[in-house]
Amino acid sequence: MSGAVPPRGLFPHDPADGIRNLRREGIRHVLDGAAWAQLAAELGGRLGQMRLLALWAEASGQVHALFHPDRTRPLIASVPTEAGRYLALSGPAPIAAPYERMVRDLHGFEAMHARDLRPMLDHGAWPATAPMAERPGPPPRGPEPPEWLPVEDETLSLVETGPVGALEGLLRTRLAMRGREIAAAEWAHGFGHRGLLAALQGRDTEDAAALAERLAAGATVAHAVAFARAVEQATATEIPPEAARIRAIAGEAERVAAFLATIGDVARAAGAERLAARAGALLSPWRDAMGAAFGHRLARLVVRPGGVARALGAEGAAALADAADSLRRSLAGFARLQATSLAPVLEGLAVVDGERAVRFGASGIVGRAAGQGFDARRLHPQAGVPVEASVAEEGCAATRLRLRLRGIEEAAVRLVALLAVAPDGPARVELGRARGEGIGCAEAPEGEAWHFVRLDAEGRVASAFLRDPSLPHALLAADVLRSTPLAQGGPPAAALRLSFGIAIEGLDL
Amino acid sequence: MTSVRPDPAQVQALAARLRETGRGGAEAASGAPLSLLHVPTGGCGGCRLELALLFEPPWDSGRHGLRLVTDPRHADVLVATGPLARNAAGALLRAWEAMPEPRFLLALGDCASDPAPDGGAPYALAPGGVRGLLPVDLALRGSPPPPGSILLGLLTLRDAIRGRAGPAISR
Repeated sequence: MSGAVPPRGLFPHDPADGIRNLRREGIRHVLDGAAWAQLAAELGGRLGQMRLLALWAEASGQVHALFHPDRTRPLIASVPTEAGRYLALSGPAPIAAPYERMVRDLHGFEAMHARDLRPMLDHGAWPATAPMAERPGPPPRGPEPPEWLPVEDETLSLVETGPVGALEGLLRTRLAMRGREIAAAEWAHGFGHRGLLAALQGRDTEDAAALAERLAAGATVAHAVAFARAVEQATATEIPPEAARIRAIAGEAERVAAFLATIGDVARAAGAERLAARAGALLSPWRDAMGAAFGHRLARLVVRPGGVARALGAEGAAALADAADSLRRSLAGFARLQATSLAPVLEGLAVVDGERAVRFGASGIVGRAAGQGFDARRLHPQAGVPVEASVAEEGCAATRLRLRLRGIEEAAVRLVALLAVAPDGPARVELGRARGEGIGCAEAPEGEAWHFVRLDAEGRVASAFLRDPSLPHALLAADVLRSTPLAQGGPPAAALRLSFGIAIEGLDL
Repeated sequence: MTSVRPDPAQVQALAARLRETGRGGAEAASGAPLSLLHVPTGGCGGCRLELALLFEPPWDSGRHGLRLVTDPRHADVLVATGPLARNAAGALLRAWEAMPEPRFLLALGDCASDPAPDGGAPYALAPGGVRGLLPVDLALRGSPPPPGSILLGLLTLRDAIRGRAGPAISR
C-alpha cells in the first residue's frame, strides 16, 4: 500500500495530462488551488471513477481528500486553505458533503460552492466553535435543534423521532409522508460526538490505538487493524505472518457477531420476534467464545501497532473452533426461518442500485448487495486463506440480510481455516521508526474502515483521521427510502434503515 | 468473563438512597415489570451490544421482570451508557425529566460510571460525566460489563426497589 510516486501528475491511470502536484508531503500529494479546482471540475466527468472515500482537515490549514481509484492503492490529495476557505468537492462528488460539514464544524474551514452548509457535529453545545482550529472561534449561542432540509410540498405530513429511542443509538429521524409513502427521509446525528480526532492528538501509538478501536464497538477489530496499519506504514514496520493470522481470526469472529447482531436488530424492528430470539441465542455463545479466545468479548486490545498483543492460546482457539462448529450446524435452520419470516416483508424495499452504490461509495454488505464486489481483505496477506464474499445485484433490504447470512457462513468457514494454520513465529515486532505518515484500511463487517495518522519525532500522534464505513450508508439509506411505500402490516421505516447496518458512533466520532 | 455482582457497599448505599428519597417499597413491590430506557450518552456502543443480548435467549430477561421501552414516559429506569457528550446532555436531561416518579438511574459501564470519564476531547465531553448532570443510583463497572454482570446489577436494583435483597439468577 505504500505509495510509489506516479511518474507524472497525480493520477497513475492518466499520466499524459494528469493534475500537477506541487510537492509530496509524507504520503500525500499537495496541490495548489488551481490543480485542486481542476480535480474538482473533473471529478464529475473524466475522473468520475476516483472513489472519493473521505475528506478531512488539519489545524495547520490543509484539507485532505482520500481516493481509492484503482482499488489497489489509496491516493491522498491535499490543498492549503486560503483565508480559511477551499473549493468544495461536493458539487461533482455528493459524498464529500458530510465531510465538508464536518470540516467546517471542527476546523472552521469553509468549502466554497458546497452542496450543504448546515452544521452536522456542532449542535451549539461546545464551549467554542471550530474547536480543532488553531484558534477556536467564539462560543456558540447555545444548543440548537437540527436544521432539516426544506420540504417544498406543504401537504406532506412530517414525522419526527429521537434522538432517544432509536435502536442503534442517538439519532433524530424525520420522514415526510405522502399518505403511506415516504416522500423524503433524513437523519440528524452527532449527539454522541466524543471529539475522538482531537483526543488522539498527542497520544503515543499504543494509547491512540486503544482509543481508535473504540470508534464503533461492532467494528472494534477492524478499526484497530486500520489504525495499526496506518501506524505500521508511517513507521515502516512489517508485521510477522502470525500477527496477520490472529488479526484475520479476530476479524472473522467480529464479522460473525456483527452480522448476527444486525439481523437481530432488523428482525426486532420488523416484529420478527422469533428470528430476533434465534439471532440472540446464536450471538450470546459466540461472544462467550470470543471472550474465551481474546480475553475480551469484543476482542478489544487484541490488535496492537506492530502485531497483536499476544499469541492465541490453544484453549481459546478450541473455544472458537467449537463455537464455529455449533454455529454452522444451526445456520440452515436460521436461514430457513429468515427466508420465511423476515425476507418476504423486506423483498424489493429500500433498493440500492449499482449506480447509486458507486456514486455514494458504498462498501461492505450495502455495496456487495448492489453488485460491488470489492473487499479490502484482498489488499493484505491473509495467512494464505482466500476471501469468499458473496455478491448480489438486487440491492434491496432482503438482499442485504441474505448476504449477511451468507457472510456468517463464509466468515465461520474462513475462521476455521485460519485456526487450522499452524501458529508460527512471533506475534508482534517493534515499530521501525518514530516519525512518519500512513494510511491503513481494513474490511469491517459493514465495509471499508480507513485511518490516517501522522506521527511526530517522538512517535506521538500529530494528526489523525478515522473513517467508519457508515457515513455513505446513512446517506444512501435516507436517499433510497424516498418513495418507499410503508404498507399496512409491512416493516416500519426503522427496520429498513437498520438493514443498512449503520453504526451511529462511527458517524459521530 | 464471569458475572460480577455490584459490590455490597454500593448495594447498601443504594438501599439507603431509595429509603431517603422515598422511592422504594409499596408501588414498586406490586410485581409489575421494571421498564428500562436506554440512553446512549456518547460511547462506543459496546454497552448497547451487551445490553441487547439480555432481552433474547438464553438470557431472556423478561422472565425476571425486566423489559426495554423506547419512550421515557413509560420507563422506570434510565440506563445511561457513555462518557456524556455535551451534544447528548440535552437529550439525557429531557428523557429523565419526561420519566414519571419514582424514577431510577443506572450508569452502565466505565464511561457512564466514572465522574471524570476519558475517551474523548474536553471540548466534546461534559465535565463530570453523567454523574455531573444527574444522580446515579447504581453504577456498573466494566468496558463493557458482560451480560451476566448487567443482569445482576439490574436485579439488584429491581430488588432494592421492591425492598428485597439478593438476586439469584440462572441462565
